Amino acid sequence: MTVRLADGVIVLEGDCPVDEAEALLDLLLANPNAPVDWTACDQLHTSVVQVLIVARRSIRGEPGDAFLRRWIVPHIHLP
Amino acid sequence: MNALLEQFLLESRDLIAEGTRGLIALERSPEDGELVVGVFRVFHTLKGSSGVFGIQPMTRMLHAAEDMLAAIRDGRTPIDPALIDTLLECLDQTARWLDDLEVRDGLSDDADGMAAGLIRRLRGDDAAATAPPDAPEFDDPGIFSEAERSAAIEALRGQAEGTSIFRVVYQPDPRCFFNGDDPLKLIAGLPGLAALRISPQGDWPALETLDPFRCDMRIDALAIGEEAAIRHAFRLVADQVRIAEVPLRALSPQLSPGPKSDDIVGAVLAEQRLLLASTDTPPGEVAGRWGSAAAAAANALRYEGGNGHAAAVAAALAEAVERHDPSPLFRALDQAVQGRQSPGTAAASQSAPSAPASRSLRVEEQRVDRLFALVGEMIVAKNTLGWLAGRTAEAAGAGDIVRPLRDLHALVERLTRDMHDAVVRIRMVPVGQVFDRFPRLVRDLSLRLGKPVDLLVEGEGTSADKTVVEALFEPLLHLVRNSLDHGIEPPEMRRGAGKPERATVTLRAFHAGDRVVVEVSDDGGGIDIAAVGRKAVDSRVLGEDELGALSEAETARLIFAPGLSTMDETSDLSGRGVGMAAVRMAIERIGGAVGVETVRHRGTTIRLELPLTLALLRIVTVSARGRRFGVPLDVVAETIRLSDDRIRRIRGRAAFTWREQVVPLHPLGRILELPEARDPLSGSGGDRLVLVVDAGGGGGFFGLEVDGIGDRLEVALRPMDGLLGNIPAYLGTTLQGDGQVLLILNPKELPP
Repeated sequence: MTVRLADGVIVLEGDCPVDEAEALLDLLLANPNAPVDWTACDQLHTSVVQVLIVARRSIRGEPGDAFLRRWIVPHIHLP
Repeated sequence: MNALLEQFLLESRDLIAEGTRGLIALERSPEDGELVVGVFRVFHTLKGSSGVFGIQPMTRMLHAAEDMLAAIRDGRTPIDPALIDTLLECLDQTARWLDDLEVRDGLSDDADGMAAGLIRRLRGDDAAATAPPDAPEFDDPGIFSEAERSAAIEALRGQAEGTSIFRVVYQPDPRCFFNGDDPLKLIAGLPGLAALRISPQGDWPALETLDPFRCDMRIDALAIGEEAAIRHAFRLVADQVRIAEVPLRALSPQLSPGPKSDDIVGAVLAEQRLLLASTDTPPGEVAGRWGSAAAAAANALRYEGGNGHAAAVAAALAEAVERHDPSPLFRALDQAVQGRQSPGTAAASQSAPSAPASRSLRVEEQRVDRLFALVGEMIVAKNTLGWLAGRTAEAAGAGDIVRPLRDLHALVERLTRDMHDAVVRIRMVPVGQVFDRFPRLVRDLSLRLGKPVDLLVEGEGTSADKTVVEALFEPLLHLVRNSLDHGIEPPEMRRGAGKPERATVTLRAFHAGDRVVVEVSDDGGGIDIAAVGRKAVDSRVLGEDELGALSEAETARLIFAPGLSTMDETSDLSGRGVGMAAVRMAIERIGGAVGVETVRHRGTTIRLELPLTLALLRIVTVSARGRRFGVPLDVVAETIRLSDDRIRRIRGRAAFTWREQVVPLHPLGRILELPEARDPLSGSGGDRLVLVVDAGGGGGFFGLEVDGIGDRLEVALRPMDGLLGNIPAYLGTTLQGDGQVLLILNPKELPP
């Protein structure tokens, strides 16, 4: 499992391939107040990024991957 | 026309000529990296300058051509004749657009279509898919923040040559996730990503209605790198991506949204600043690039009177070159921009020494021609003065006025001659102007005829009067076509003869004394002299016995005789039977002479000897049947009086013996078929006046019988033009002291 719910936080870990998008979407819908933690995340498929952008959920931590940190973070950390 | 446009037209035409030369050379030596870089630079510069004038189709087309050349340079695309053809056509089209621009300040209506067509051809079919011709210009820099744009420009500095900023618009197919696509992964793999924007293709849906398997994104990015690398990253989704190079100007924060269109000087300065910042300059060209940026900026500043700033820019260039660092130039340009915005403070900062500006001046041709015509009229006036002085001397009681009048005449004569010389010198242009048109022509002809030919050009810097150089084109065209069509053998025949398959045609120019010599040589089959002789006899140009008396060289010269062509079949290239005679006449009309050297199976050289300038012509006036004519003195060997008893009849023709040779005698009045004068004073008795004329070219001498011989004059010859230009008997006209037009005879063409 690379997408899971732990202590009220949706955690993304390692590689999150395309089929994780649906799982993530389901968790987000089921837990409307749960923040997302992607500290342990190495790679996100575009479909997963798209879910995160649309969700506008508060995000915790910084992903380990440089591309995500530099280019995707600004799109997800909404003011 | 404003001065900048004028400058642009001039420079662009030079660049087109340079590019054409380069492309043709490149076709021969595809491995020559320097040639590729040279041609690339031509297209790059043309494209860059065209940007200032807002002529989008031209800029787009040149841009596509530049891309192609970059691909060639990087070894991604091989050079083939078809590609060279297309690139040459791009230059042709650019030249036509420049003409449009000059005439009506804009491109023709079909410019968009023409550009799109050429762009499609440049990119070929498979590239057309990745880069549709309708790829939009980068026109929405606002999508990226100012910081992102500045960062991109900064990041570009210090990058390798060939690197640019590219705008990428990636609209993934909504079902792309099912194909295993990961658009952001492609972006992550993009070299030199400088800015990224992710936005919905429409609006983001609510989380509840989001289809996680449908890609709703549009990705906008700026990437710094080589176009090929960037396109490569997207090769699998090429149909969903548009990639376009971003002009630095469009990104530059200070200039956004671009300078006002009426501030052309500002635009030029900004352009130069960007030129300096750009990184695609090969190391060897850096100084040149700085130099051209500084020159363009200085010109623009001078154009609006900012001489101080212009000098500062020139000084900064020297400093930059010395320190191998462009920053002094940047500072000078920035100061100039600030100075323009606050003119009051500008003058104070100008302590820089004024740079030695170029002292050459570009002047419209018509102005020089006007000056030339005026000097011609002065010469006429001077001759009148001489005539008047002569009349005064004859009048009684004018002794004290004659001497000062003669002195004055001598002074005016010297002054007008010096002045004529000076003006003639202004009109000197290099023959390269004409030679430049041949590489392209030879290439096209050689492809058409299936004869591989190299054109060698030597001495293109040799200069001569503009009229002489311009008059050279048609004769040379004829000679070069002749060489390719008839002179050079087909490749298989050359192979059989142990010659290299690739033939060589040489255009050569050099000075010889006060003449300029232009030669067209080929290493072809040479002229079949025996065939020329037979043909000449068949065409009744001369008799069998006369032919027998001619040497080989003299026989070869018969190719210049009217009505003689050695090729039986005619082609659309040459060989209409009047060719070489027409060449000879065109050359003689401008005071030149033709010659031929030929060696069977080795080749032929046609030599044109031309006057360096249309110098003053020394003539003697003669009269026949009441009319006056001028005869050039240089062909008159002697003026003699002949008593009737010295004239003999040989085969019904009049002749006389002169210096132990028999010379035919032709009365000028009869040759010209002039009506008999009402009062034929002369000829009725006494001796006949005869000019012994050297017909030149082995034609020997003949006697020209005239009724009277008048003054010797120096005149400015005006060549005949229009219908009269085709009458071989006359060289031209000149105005006489009394205002009448005097016809100058071409004695070599006179004998019937």
